[in-house]
Amino acid sequence: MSAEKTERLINLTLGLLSSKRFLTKSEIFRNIAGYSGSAETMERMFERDKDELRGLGINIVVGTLDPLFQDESGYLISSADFQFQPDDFTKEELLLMTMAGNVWRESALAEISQTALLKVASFDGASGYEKVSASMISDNDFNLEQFKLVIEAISARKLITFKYNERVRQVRPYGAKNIKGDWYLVGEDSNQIKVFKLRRFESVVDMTSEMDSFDLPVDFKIDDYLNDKGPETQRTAILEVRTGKANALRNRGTVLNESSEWDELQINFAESEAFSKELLWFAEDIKVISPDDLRELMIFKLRKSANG
Amino acid sequence: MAESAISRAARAMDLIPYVLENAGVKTGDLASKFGVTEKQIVKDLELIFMCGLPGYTPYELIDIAFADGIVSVIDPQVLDRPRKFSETEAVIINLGLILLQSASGNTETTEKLTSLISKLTGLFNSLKLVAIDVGARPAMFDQISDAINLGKGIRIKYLALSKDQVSIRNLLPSRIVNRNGFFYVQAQDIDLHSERVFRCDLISECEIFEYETTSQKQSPEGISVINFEIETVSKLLTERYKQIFSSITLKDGVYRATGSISSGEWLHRWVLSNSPTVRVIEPQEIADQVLYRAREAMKNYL
Repeated sequence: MSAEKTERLINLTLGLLSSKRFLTKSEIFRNIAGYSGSAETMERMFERDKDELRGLGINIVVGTLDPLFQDESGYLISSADFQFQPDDFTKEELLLMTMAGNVWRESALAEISQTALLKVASFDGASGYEKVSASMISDNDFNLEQFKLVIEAISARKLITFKYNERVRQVRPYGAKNIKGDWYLVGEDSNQIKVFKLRRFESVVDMTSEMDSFDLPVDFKIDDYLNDKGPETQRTAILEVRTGKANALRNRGTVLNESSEWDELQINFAESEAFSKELLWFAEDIKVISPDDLRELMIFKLRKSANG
Repeated sequence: MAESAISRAARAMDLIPYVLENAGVKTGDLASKFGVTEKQIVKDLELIFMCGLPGYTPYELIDIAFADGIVSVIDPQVLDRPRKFSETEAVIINLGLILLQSASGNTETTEKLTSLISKLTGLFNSLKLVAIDVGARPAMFDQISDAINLGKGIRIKYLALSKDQVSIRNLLPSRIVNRNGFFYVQAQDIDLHSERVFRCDLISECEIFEYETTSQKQSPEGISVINFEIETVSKLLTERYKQIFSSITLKDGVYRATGSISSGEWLHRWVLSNSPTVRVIEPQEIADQVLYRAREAMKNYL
């Protein structure tokens, strides 16, 4: 049963791909192997086959046979849409793509890079794609199916529905970004552009619309979101640092005064909460002199911990 | 669960151009490349052998030669070139290229990567919508990757954050990994005879030397099972350090996390750094050690 359907899907693809002109449904039913039964049965089969091939990313173009008479529409797959062209990439580019695919070898995304690498290795003249790489991505384990759906929705402009922060939302997915190993979705939810962390989705992702259900705002750029540049305002702290200690801080700041036990260090920081965490790492080896709010924050946190 | 007809059709159609380009390939190799059993590959080949163009005479069918576990394609019909990447595949390749570009120290390679990225961006519409922030390229990246490629050792000046100490280490590096936005080099510490991981941006000097490989490994330092309480404001920690926790549960508005962690400097500093939203509950001994460090630090303000 399943084998028959697989054959029919392949034959339909090959038939639409090899044709020079749009094929009408009746031509398809007559000439392409695998379609049988009543007219309605074949109709249903064809509609489902078409959707499944499109789901694979295969672009089935619909057009009319005679532009003067908009009578019966026909179907076609263009080779330029379906296949790479022989001269799309140079040998060097194939090698670079091989290296790029290998970057993901230990990631949850290896499953996707592997199928891409097989395509690269199917090019005429592609050299072997084994181990050419000097660096790799190692990510926190994450939900691959969810990631695939989000990327698919972004590229096909389909609305998606998921639960986030205890609310079910319907979102226009605009783009995605990986920051320090975590994936984020940027999309429009109730007329506002928001950022969602994929790891915090509380339900599976549902595609809830057809392709091209929305237009991307013309000025949308993923680089405008989730920038890790930090706040522009920098403040200066004065610390006392035990001699020979807190080396990572010393590398970033300037030593103002040295003495036998404590050195005075001047260092810039952006935000007290994050900076206090960094300072607490050095435990008894540092002392905040100024500013006062940072000093108070350190005392507050240490007092809590020191009281057990 | 049985595989869907569509995903099998996709694989069968991808097999043809691959075998065409890699004539004489073994079915066993195809199985491992395509991630299915050898039996499945044989079934796929038998199936696609029955497919072709309308008319379906021998001249219109896909023709493969298939004997003794070795396959070649005689006539691929229209499947003579690989299918285009799916958008998702293109995204992954493109992000890989961006990572290579950020790590490349060679201007010529960087330019080639840039032009390839813009070529792909022209072919696939979602590439400019999916980005990656890979973090800064470490200063010693080239020396380290040269040493890996040449199988040589490196002598580095390294700032160990947990010991807060700069020391000279002799390493045999095996690979560079980007994790959570940092580049790490995984290496055999030659003097300690043990496999370690070093953050590339904490390496301040790096010198390559010849090293004869002898592999010797040591078991890691004392590992303890530790129970933590983590307040919900620090949810990010439970995500970022997911690997070290064997279980995380939310109870009464507080996360209870358990993990097997090598006790010592790193642990003390990590807890202090995230205090008071992270607390060690058990073992008491480690909770006491952290408490002692906090009291010592508090003395600086008394």
